[in-house]
Amino acid sequence: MSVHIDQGAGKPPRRALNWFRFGLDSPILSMPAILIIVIGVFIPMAVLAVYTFRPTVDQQILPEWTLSNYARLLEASVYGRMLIYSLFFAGLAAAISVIMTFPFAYFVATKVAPRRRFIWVALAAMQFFTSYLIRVFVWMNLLGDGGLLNEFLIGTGLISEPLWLFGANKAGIVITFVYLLAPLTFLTTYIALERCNPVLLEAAADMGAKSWQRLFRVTLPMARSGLLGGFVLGMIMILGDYITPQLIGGTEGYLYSNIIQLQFGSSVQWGMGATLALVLMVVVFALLLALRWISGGAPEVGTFTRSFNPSPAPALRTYAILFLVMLYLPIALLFILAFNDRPMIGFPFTGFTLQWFSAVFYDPLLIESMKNSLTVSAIAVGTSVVLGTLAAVYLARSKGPMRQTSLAIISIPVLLPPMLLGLAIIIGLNALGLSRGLWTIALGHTVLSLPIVTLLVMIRLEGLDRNLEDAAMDLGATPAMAFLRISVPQALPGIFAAALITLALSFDEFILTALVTGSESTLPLYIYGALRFGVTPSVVAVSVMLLTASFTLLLAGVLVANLGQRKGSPSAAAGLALST
Amino acid sequence: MSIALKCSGLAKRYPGQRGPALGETGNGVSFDVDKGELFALLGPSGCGKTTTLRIIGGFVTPDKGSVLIDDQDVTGLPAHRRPTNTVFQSYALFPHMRLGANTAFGLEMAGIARKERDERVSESLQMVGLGGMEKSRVSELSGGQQQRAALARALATGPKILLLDEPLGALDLKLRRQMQDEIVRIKEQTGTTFIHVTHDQEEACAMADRIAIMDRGRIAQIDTPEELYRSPRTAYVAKFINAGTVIAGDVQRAGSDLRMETPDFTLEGPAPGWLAGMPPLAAVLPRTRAEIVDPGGPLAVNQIDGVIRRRVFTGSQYELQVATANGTEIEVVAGLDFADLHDGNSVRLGWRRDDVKFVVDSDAA
Repeated sequence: MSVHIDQGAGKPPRRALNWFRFGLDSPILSMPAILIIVIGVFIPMAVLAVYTFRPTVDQQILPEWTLSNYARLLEASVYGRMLIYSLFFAGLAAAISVIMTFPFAYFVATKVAPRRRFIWVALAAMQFFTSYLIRVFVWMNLLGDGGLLNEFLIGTGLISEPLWLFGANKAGIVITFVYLLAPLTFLTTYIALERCNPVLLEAAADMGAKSWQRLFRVTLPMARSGLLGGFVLGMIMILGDYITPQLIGGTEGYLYSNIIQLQFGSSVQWGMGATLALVLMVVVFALLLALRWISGGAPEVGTFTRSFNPSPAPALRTYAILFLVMLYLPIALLFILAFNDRPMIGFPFTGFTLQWFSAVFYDPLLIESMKNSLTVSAIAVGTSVVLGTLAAVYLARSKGPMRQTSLAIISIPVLLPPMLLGLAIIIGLNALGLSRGLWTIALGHTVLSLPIVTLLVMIRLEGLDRNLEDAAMDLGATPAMAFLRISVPQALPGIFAAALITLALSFDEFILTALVTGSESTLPLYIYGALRFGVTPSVVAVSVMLLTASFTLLLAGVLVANLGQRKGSPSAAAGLALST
Repeated sequence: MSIALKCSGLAKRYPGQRGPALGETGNGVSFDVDKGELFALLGPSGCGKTTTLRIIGGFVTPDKGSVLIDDQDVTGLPAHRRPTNTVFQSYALFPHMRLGANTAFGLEMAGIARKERDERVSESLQMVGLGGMEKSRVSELSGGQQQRAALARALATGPKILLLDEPLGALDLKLRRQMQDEIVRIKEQTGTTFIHVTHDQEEACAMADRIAIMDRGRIAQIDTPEELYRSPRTAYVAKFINAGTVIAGDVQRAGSDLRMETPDFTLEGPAPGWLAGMPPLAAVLPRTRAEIVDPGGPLAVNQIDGVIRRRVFTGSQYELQVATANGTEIEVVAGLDFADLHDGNSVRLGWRRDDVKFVVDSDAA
């Protein structure tokens, strides 16, 4: 062979990409993302901290220093009592959720054949990214005073008075939270269990451990970081939720988060609100630190394993199926109700109709809300996909404290309750004298989406064989060319999946949106308004449409993320929010 | 012969690296490779052979030293501007491209027009025995085919130097043998200079024209395979290539000879020509050159009495582990006619004067 191409010295690189002057491991790449987090989280949080030292007089924050907010916090025991009560409440709901989820996660991680696990994980986890509000709404309809459960029980003559599942004893709120948390606790537990090597269980059995001994001495200790993680993240989610207690329990259901929200609502006590929010933030960080401290000592128990124990477990299997039914039954009911031509929500099913769907399109406020949602999502997803991918490129190929710090900063919004982010943003806007609008919602959603995109794309890029880029450069590609031709095509499914998942998230976001919006309405805000002023079948129809949209997006996202990715775990795509 | 590659004084320490770094002792790693030569870098993991290869390929910038290819200094050039191509240990075939696109990648980067590209790709694939498989997906190829594909891709642009990083590590024994012959044939056919990194001394011996044995970041010896076995220069080299039993002890000059006396035996052999001064020395008793006789009578020089501790049958011969009265362990090879030697038998081992080698005791040095 007499081919000889001079790739030698002095030859100018062909098709030089001049815009790409710095290396792919340059920290500059993560700077835009960090800047967004600083503007959207750090500065507002700092302002929030300052506001705790400001007095509020006649609904105005005065530029003076005072400790009166803290004095009031200590004097009025209601705040402390409420916080302790809420912590207990959140802990109880999270614990029940973890316990109820464990057998299901155990089943999926050990009894389902690896190639079929993906569908189980997707089914269980997908709900986590769908509309929070609608899932609350479903339970309101099911368990409420005039809800379907009571209606059914009275109709069959089993009871004569409605069961007060919501209200004084708060059982309804706990049940709702257990349901809302299930996908989250499943994910953390499942990921931990999947990392446990089943050979260890065989070894334990070999040395004479009975099945319950294996569970308590091997499985649970190995999965402990996942179980605790689900518990703590679940508690944090409850502590930052001010809609569920109020929608389901009314004023009697109030938790600490509702007290905070009130300060920014009708009573306009911004200084006090900031103080209470800061306390919540301290609690959240204390919980996260405790989690880190407890699970930090957990040994690394190997990487993901794809082996499994195929012995049949009928009881577990039944439980797992019931678990999925419980997750999806309320949603299925919602779909049925949307097509029922009864003008009142509920049963019996009197006939099939599409009229509620067509009614939707005659509501100008709804059309407006939909437009707003689309605008906000487009901006938030677009920005976070571009900036998050750039940051991921840097994060995936560097080591050391600089990288760790960047990653920690970008990940912060995942760990903070959206409520705190929302409050910080409105306080920051207030301090700057800026008015709220669609752009504040877009900023909030960008902050929420950035870490998800960054982590998803980073995981994808890290999964690539680094030799591939080396090989491309070895064959004469410039670093930028190697990245564009080799890494980008392979990371594309990850980027696309991140876009779809954050799109679903942004479309459904309520907790932060309701705080940072001005007078604009988005789809979830519209639904919330409808929920408070009487639920019509049209609202059910809107909810069904929104749910269908986000399920489609998510399913597409998860499918794309797994495209051509043979190694790794099916949870890799779904477990993004949990990489603490 | 002209020199294709000249490495001088290479040294590299990675941030946070523990243990011996490349080229930190002495004047760094230096060696020359002739045009068309197959040069092997041989050593255990962590000896610096892969780092050396990556420096030549342009993936790692050395802290010190220079790399010259055809008399041009390429030390500061990044990988994509060097006339070297690499066959990676993991093959690093692009999973999202077909075999043809993979093979064409380097040509495409060099701006070769499509028509010529296709011709060269086909030529390259033909050479490695994958002719006509341009449309295959990488994931459809077997391990051996992927190996060939990596070779074809690296050769398609006609690099001046081909770097092979443990290229056969993932293949089973039979396939490995076959690929060894293939690689040598392809080298002859293209006339390209090959640098081959491996930890397998049999593979290095089977393929390489010359071998550089590396030890903890430095080169211990560079020689042809035969010369390495015939006259290892250090105890490390003798042990690594399994040339024979290394016996440390007190070595004295006796005229032009060297002499080692122990309570069990006395060894004598010619002083090697390269020896300057008297560094700590050790003796090497080649495992394949021992004469096995019945014990009895006075013990001559270069004779050792011992008891067979263990006899291992390896298919074509026996390996005998013999222990002397004072516990020195010696391993020798015996032909199949020694079938009546058993564990516990006493034997007398003897070597010809010229077969007893003296080496620098690198562990003591």
